[in-house]
Amino acid sequence: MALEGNAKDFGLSEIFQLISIQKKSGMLSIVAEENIAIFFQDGMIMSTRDRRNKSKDPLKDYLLRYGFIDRDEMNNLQQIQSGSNMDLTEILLSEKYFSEDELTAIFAEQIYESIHEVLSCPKSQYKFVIGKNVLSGIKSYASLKVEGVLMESMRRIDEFPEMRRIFPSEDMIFQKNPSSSTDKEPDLSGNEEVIYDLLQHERTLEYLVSHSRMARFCTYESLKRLLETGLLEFREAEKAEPEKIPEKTVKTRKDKRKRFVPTFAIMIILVASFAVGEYLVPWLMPPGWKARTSGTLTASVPETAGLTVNPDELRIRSLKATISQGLDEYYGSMGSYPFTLEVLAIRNFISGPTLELVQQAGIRYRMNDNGGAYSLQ
Amino acid sequence: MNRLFFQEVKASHLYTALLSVIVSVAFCMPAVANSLDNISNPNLKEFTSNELRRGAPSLYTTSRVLYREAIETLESGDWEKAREKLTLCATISGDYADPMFTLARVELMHAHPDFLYHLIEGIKRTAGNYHRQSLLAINLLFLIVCATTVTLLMAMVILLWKYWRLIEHRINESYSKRFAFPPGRFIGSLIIISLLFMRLGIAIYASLLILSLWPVINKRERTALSFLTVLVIAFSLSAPFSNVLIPAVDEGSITRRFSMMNMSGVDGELYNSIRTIDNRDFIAEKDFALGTLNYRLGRYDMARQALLSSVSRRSDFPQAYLNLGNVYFMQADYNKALAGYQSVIAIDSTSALAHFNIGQAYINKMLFAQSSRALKKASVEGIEKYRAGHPAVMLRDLTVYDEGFPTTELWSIAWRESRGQNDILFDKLLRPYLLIPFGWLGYVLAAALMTAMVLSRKTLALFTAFNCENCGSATCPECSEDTTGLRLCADCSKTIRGLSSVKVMEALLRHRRQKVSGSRSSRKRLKTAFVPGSTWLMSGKTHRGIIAIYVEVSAALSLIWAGMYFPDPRGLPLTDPFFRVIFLISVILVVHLISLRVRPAREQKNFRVLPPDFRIDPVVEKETATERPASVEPKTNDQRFETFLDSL
Repeated sequence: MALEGNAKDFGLSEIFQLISIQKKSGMLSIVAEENIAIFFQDGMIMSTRDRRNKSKDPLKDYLLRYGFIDRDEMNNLQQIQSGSNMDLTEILLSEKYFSEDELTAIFAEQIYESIHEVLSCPKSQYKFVIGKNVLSGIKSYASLKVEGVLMESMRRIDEFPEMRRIFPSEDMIFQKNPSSSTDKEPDLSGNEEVIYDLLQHERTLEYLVSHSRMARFCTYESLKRLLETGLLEFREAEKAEPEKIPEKTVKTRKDKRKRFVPTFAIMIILVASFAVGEYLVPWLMPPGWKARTSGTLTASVPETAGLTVNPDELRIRSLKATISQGLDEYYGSMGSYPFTLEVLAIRNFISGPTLELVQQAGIRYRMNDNGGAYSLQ
Repeated sequence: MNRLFFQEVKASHLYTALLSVIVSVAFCMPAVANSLDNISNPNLKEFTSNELRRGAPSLYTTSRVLYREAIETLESGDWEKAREKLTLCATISGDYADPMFTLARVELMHAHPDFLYHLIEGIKRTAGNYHRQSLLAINLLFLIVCATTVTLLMAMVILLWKYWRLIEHRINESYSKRFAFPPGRFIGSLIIISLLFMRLGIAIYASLLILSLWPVINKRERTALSFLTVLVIAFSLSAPFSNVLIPAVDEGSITRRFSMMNMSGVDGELYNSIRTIDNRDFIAEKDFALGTLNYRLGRYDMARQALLSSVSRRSDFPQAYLNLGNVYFMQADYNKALAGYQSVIAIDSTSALAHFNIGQAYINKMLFAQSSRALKKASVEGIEKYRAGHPAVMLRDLTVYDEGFPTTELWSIAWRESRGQNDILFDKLLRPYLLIPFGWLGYVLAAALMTAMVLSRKTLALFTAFNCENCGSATCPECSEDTTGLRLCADCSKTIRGLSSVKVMEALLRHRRQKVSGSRSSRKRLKTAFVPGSTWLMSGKTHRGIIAIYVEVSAALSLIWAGMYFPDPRGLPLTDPFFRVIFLISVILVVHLISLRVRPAREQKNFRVLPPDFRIDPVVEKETATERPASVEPKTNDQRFETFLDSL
C-alpha cells in the first residue's frame, strides 16, 4: 500500500526520515510547483531522475544551467540520446565528458539541489510507492544518506534569503577589486578559486552562475566570501534596449523567386523534350521510317504481286482470305453466296470486327450468277 | 477372253491373283464411306459432293462448317451431340486440327478417356500440315522475339529502379559540384522524364539503360543482362532468316497458293491464282500444280502437257512423276504410267503411293503377282496411314492416288520464295517501336554492351557508388567515410561525427539503420508487388526474376494479341475465353501471387565500429601510403576487425 498525503499535514523532511529509518526502497513522488520523483534504495537517496518523464531531466537541467555543458553540446547529446536510446549518464561517460568521479560529484550535487527545491516549496503532495520494482532501469552514481541531505538542504533554505538580499539581481556586474590585486595569489578554497578565475573580465551574476560549474547556492556562497575578503567588487548593470526583429518580407519574396525559377526551367525542359519527340525525331528519321501510329487499317494499300512484307497489305490479303473462307462456308451451308457481306456477319460466318475492317479497307463484294459466284475487289 | 486367261495362268498364280484381288479390295474399302450420309444439311452434302468431284484432297470447308455447327451445339449445352458433330468433322478432314483439340477438351471436361487420343491426333495434324506448322512457327518466333526484347527492357527498368538511388546519387554529386540550380535531387528524375518525352525508341532506351546500369549492377545481374542482350542481338542478326515464315501469313504468296491445292477442290479462283504465278523460279512447281489440277478435273491432255513440262524442268520431282503416271493410267497407257511410277521409286523408294499405283497398274495389266508385291510394299510403306490422313481421297473412291505438294516441298518453296526478299517482316512490325531497323538493333545493343564494359573499367571512379554499410543509403567515395571500419554515408557519418565512444556510435548507427532501412523495405515490398518479377530482382534472385518476367510478358502479349499475333485467316476466331483470357490471366496472377511470397535473403552483416585506436586517420594514411609495402593493411571491415580481435 502506498504512503501518500499532504506536506502540510506531515512534512516532507519527516517522510524522508521515516523512509530512511525504515530503510525502505521505492519512489517518492512529489507534486509541487514542479513534479519530482526521488528514488530510495534501502533508505538511501539514489536518484531524482525519473526516466518515465523524458521531457524533464533534472540532471540535464543542472548540467545546462551551471555551464557543465553548453547549449549546442546538450542539443547534440539530446540527439544522440534520442537516436541511441541510451541514458544521458552513459553517453556522458562513454564520450568522456566526465570521469566517473566527476559524474558522481555532479550527480550528488544535483540531488542536493533538487531536494533543496522540493523542501523549499510550501505546498506539496507526496506519494511513496514501496518496492524495488520501481527502481529497475534507474541509473545512479551516488547513494546519499537522508540525514546529510536534509541537513545541507535546511542550511541552504535558511541561508538562501540572506543570499538573495545580497545579490538581488542577476544583472549585477562583478569584477576583481583593483585595489586588492597584488602579485601574490590569494589563498582561496576550491569554489572560490573557480569564481575568482572566471573574473578575468567583468562578469554578470547570471554569467557566473551559468559558467561556474557548481550549484547556484554554492556560487552565491563563494561570491559572498570573496566580497567579504574584499577581492571583488560589484555594480548595478545598465538597462539595454531590446533588439529590433528584422522584417522577413524581403526573404519571403526571395524564397518565392527561388521556387518559381526552377519550376519554370523544369517546365521549359519538359516542353522542349516533348517538342523534340513530336517534331525533331520524326523529322530526323529517313523517308519510310515512321514511329508507331494507331492500329487502323490503311484504306489505300497498293496491291503488289508475289510475297509482301508490308503489314497493311498482309492484313488486307489476310482479310480477303477470311472473307473468302466465310463465303465458301456460307455457300456450302446455304447453297448460294450471300447478297452482302453483312449477311455473313449476321450469320456469324465472319465476325463483326472483321466486317468493320473490310469496310475500312474498302474491299468490295459482288455476288454473281444468282448466288453461284462472287467477286472481291 | 477371261476363260482363256484363266487357262493360261498356272494354279499357283491363280491363288496369288485371288489373294491380290482380295487385298486390293480390302485396301480400297473406304474407311469413311458413310461419313457423307451423316451430314444432315443437304446443301452441305451437295457442296461436299461437288468438292469431291472437283478432286478435293481435303474437305476443309465442309469440315469448317460442321465444326462451326458443333461449336454452336456445344454452346447450347448438348455436349453429346456436339461430340458426334466434332467427331464427324474430324473424320472427314484429315488435316484439320481444331476439331480434335475441341474434342479433347470437351472429353477432358466430361472425364471421357478418349481425350488423350484426340489431343495427340490434334498435335499430329498440326505438325503434319505446312500451313499450320509455319503459322505456329511464325507466331512462336514473333512471341519469343517480342517477349525477349520486352523482358530485357523490363528487367533493365526494374534494375534501374533497384539501383536508382546509386545512379541518382552520382548524378546529384556530379551536378551539384557545378550547378546550384535546378536542385540536384531533381536532375535524375528530370533526365528520365525528358528522355521519355523525346520518344527515342526502344533501341536507344535499351542502350542507355545498359550504359547506365552496367557499372552499378552485380555480377549475377550482369550475366543475366548479357544473356538477354545476346539473345536479342542473335534474333536481330538472324532476322532475315525469319522471312522463310512470311508465306505462312501472306495469303498471296506462291507457297500459300500452292498449299491451297492440298486443301480444296479445283475451282476457277484456285486455278487462276496458280496460273498467274509469273516467278520463273517456280515454273516446274507451277506446271506441276496446273497439271495436278487439270488431272483432278479430268482434263488429262492438259494435265499431261503440264506435268511433262514440270518433269522436264525438274527431274527430281517425284510428285510430278506420280501424277503424270496417273494421267497415263487414266488414259489406259499402263506402261507409261508404270514408267512414271518407277521414276518416283527411283527418286524415293519409300513412296507408298507409287507402290500402290504400280500395284493398280499391274492389276490392269493382269500381272497379279507383281501387283501383289507392289501392294504389299505399299502396305509396308504406309498406304493405310496415307488413307487415314486423307479421308477425302477415300470418299472419291479412286483407283490410283495423286499427290499435291508435300510439307517438306512447301517449306523448300517458302525458303526459295523468301530468299529474294530484301525487306524483313519483323523489321516492318517492330521498327515503329524501335525507330531503327530491327537488323540494326543487334549492332546498337552490342555496341552499347561493349561500351558499357569498357567505360565501367576505364572510368570506374566516375560511376562508383555503393550502399552505406549501415543504413543502405546511396553513397560514393567522395561523400562516404570509412574511418570507423564501416563505409558510411554522409548522414550516418554526421550522426556519429565527433563521437569517440564505440558504444554510443553503435547505438546511434543501429537506431538510424532501423529507421531508414525499415521504412524503405516496407515501401519497396508494396511497390514491387505490382510489377512482374520485380520482387525477385529486387531481392537479388535475378534468374528467377527474369524467368518470371518472361512468363508474365509472354502471357500479357498473348492476352493483348487475343492468342496469336498472326491469326489463321481461314481459321475460326478464337472465342473460347479459357485459352484466350482465363488461362493467360491465371498465369499472370499465379506468378504475381508467388512473387508476393518472395522474401529477400537475409545476409549477415557486420555493423561493428572499430575502436578509436584501430581507426585509420585518412590524412596520415595518405602520407604513409607511399612508404608502406603494398596491401599489407587490411582493407575490409572484417579484416580490420580480425586484426583488432587478434590484438586482444
